[in-house]
Amino acid sequence: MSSGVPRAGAMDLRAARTLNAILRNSASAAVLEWALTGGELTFADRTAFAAGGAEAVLKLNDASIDSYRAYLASPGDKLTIESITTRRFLYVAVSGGIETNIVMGSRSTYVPGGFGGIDGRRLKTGDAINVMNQKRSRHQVLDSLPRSLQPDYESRPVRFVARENSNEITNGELTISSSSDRTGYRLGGRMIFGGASITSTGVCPGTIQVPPGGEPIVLMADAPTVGGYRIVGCVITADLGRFAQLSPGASVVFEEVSVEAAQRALIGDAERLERVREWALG
Amino acid sequence: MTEQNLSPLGDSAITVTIGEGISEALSDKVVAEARAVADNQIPGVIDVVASYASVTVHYDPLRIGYADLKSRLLSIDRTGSSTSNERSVTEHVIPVRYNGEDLEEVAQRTQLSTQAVIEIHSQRIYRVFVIGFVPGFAYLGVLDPRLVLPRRESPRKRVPAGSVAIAEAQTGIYPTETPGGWHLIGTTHMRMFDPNRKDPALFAVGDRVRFEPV
Repeated sequence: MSSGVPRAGAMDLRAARTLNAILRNSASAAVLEWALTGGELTFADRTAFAAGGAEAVLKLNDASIDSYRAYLASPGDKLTIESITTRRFLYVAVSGGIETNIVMGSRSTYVPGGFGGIDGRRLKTGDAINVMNQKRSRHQVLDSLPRSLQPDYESRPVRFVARENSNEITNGELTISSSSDRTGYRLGGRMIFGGASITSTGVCPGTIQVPPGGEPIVLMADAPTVGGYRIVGCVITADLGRFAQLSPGASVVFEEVSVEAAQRALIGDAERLERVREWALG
Repeated sequence: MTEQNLSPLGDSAITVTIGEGISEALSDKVVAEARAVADNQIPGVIDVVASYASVTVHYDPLRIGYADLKSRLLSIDRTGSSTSNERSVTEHVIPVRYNGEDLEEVAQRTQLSTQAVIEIHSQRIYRVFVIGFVPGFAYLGVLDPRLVLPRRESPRKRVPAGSVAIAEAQTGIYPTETPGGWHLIGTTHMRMFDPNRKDPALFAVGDRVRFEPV
């Protein structure tokens, strides 16, 4: 970040990490992120995989498959993502993880910078993707992860830690604007007063900025490292994945919490992931 | 350093406010603070980002809690690091071909000859105040007041990598092709950012930079 490089990585880290835990991968194993549209993957080798995050119509050859459940694909099998029906980002994880270069200690792709991941770009039709440690793919098919261990997407307030007086933000609903991408989500729905330019200072994914125009921006995974707009607070890490999955037009309510509460929520989620790992070991 | 200087940036970063505004003296203090924090190697601290008037300490809350990190930050030994002068300051010399698309326009608007623009721009030693905007982009200051112009009214959709540019009281070099609203006065072949280098960004906050016409 001191070189001006964003954190990057999955928009919904909670979903990506849950899939890695189901497959007994390391937490930092690379996964595929599908945004908004579907696609098709053909497996060249025996591969255990699992999908989750957004709700989607998913088929392995002709059979429907469930989210948060490990499947074993045989050579030639086709995984089809027919459509993403609810939420925005669907993840497909494979046992062993997707093989990528490691750039600056990360397997993530930063598309605007053209580095990381696979050739620093979005995947395109015809790409061959390598899986790491494929030989060890000795996975048995498990049941679906119990719902209580899956990331939840209930519609409840998105929690944030306030930097200064944040009444403007908590005072009613806001909506996710259509100009929302991996860098940031704009919020509309009502006017926010008190937006301003400030001397640039450090920001991070989750930071809620209010520019002079009054349309707040929540910075996301590809957020810059410094920003020059008034900062009212920061969405807590435990809620950022759920927030990332909100589609344009969705309404959102923000609720202020303490840093301690935010960190307790994150520790709670780390404990949930630990239980997912225990479950996957049978 | 007191508790008043520290404020949470969410649950995974703390902002250390050193002062207000933009000045070289303040930047010295910011750099000293960023170094003091980095030198302490507090377990759980992931990165330290210096900007004009503050230092942002990014950390992993699963490894160190907010209260613990705050008390560690408050108890850092800062004696001997009050100025950055005690450590060597890296100075970079950047060869520039002053052939930028906007050089003529800059000369007209500042009522200077292009030669004068080149001389004024290359005579100063600049300081790296902040790195951001895109990976490796350094905000360098302070520009000679005679060259100060507002940003372009409509930003270019594409500024080529290696463009040397000015805007307001700052100058900088675009590390990669990106949209940009600064006035392009020259180009350099220096690679400002390379994700595969040990230090991906050529400059660090606090470094000095001089441009050499070629």
